[in-house]
Amino acid sequence: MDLTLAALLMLGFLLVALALGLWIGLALLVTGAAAIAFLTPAPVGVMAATAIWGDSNDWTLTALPMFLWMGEILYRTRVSDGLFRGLAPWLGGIPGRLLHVNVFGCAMFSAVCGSSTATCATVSRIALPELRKRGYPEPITIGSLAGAGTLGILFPPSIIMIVYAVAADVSILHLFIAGILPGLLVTALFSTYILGYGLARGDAIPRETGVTWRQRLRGLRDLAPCLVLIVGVIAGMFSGVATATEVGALGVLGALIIAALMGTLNWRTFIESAYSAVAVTCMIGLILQGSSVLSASMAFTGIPKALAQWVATMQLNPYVLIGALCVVYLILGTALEGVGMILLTTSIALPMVVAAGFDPLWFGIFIVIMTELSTLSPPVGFNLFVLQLMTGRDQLYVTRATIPFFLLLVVAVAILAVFPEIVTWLPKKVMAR
Amino acid sequence: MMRKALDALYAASGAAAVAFLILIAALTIAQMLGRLIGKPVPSADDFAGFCMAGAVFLGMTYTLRSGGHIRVLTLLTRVAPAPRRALEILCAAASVLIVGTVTWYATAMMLDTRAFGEYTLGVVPMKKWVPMTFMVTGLVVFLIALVDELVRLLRGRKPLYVAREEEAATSIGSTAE
Repeated sequence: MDLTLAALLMLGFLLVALALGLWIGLALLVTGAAAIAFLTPAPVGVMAATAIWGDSNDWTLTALPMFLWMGEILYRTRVSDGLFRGLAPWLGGIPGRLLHVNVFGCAMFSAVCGSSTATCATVSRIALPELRKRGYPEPITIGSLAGAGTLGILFPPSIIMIVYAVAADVSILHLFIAGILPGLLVTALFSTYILGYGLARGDAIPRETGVTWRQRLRGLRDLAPCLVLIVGVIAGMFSGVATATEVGALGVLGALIIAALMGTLNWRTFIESAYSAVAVTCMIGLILQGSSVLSASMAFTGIPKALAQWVATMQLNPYVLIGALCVVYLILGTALEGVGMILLTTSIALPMVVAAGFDPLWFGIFIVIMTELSTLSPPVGFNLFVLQLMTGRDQLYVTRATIPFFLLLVVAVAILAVFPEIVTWLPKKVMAR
Repeated sequence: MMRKALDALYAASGAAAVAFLILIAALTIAQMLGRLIGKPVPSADDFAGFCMAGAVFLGMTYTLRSGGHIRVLTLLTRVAPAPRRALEILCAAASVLIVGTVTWYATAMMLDTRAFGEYTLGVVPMKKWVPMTFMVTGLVVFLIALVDELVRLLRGRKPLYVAREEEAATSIGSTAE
């Protein structure tokens, strides 16, 4: 059969299966199996079982449950309370005032947590009531929390990065390290916007009473648990000896110690956090299994290679290609969540992106930011949902409040496309050692 | 009686998955300490991989019943109750079919591996079929749970995962993003 027709039929079949409400993992699995059955002479059942088992007992995957568990333990502590109390005395004096706490609080928490939704929920839970009490304008409060919450998957650790690293076969740690400078770039863009807002609309932002250095130093003490964990995670990543899983396991241990010191650790929270970590691991696991079968079918049919060659013959400007992919991911992101989006597209898109001269690590960061945008896209964006629940506002209100930060993320993608070194420089330095 | 036995089976499977999660953490830390004192844990990577498979396959059922497996709800939540029920039955039946087929071939693979007597290539050679039992056990329990949900649907009741999905629409749960 003609490959173009086959690819379109597969895509159609998959979209129907997804729209009807089949679990994403099973939809990917059955699409892959159908492609193997109709397009190749290979025995479907044996191939599917081999692909599923081969991709499931891989030890590199163990980083996933470790970082998930670490996040689940921290979510049940009061680390975030300390974040607000600790950052407020330092940031209250600059234009934009405590709105910066949203951005820096999320940036700090995202350095110990691998999920955007958890970052957004954790920081919002504490910052939102405080800012409301002081009378901060609601739209920018909501927008900055939803937007900065997405940093959760850009700063390491990052669950989405682990999923991409496994799918694209790149090092988890190198991808983690590649996320640091882009994360700082996005943080800078967000706080510059808030700074500008503060300068232009300074009268809308409530004044802070004078802050003493004593209060600032006391603030550092509140930040200590988070800072210690961040230093630990970063030291582990750059040490060159620890694997991603080992950094994650140390993170679990560190999170447990912090929970114990804060008095939130008991048998119930321990078991609850473990079950939650298992649930998300298995959710991703089922999608991974489906995508193993789909990727195997892709390799057999040769569709990604043909697609890459076709794109190559068009002699596209690489920026046009990235722009086109941006549009595709923005559309996909309105219906699918990140894990499904990444596992569905990586085996297809990566060959053509690499053929256009981009680094697999760069594409990983690109896809992470696309996932961040999907958490801000209605109707199923998770970060929008978090703030809808927390503020009681409807989706339209929350989405509108988030638009500036959505656009700033798009700007970040454009900057990274023009200066890909922002992504690749740091991991290259580490690899060169 | 039947109900109790099924629930106990699901609970045992979930508890085993949590045990594997804790084992991964313990094994990883032991491996680090071992390297530090110059006595590495042999074949730790193989063991970790098997624990991963154990956690993923045995936790599948807990995840199903807590509404953790994700799907696109855009259409389902926008149609009337009657077509919704038809779609749900279609999805559950298709899932039983897909998971049933995978379980069949996974079991066949395990039995073949046992018959050939294959070993892993690590420092500590292990029989390859043994960890495959985690996959087969997890899949069988998952299949039973899916049939259970299909039966619930056919009897005109709401599957557990639908109830959990509806709860999730009013609270913040765990996601990967």
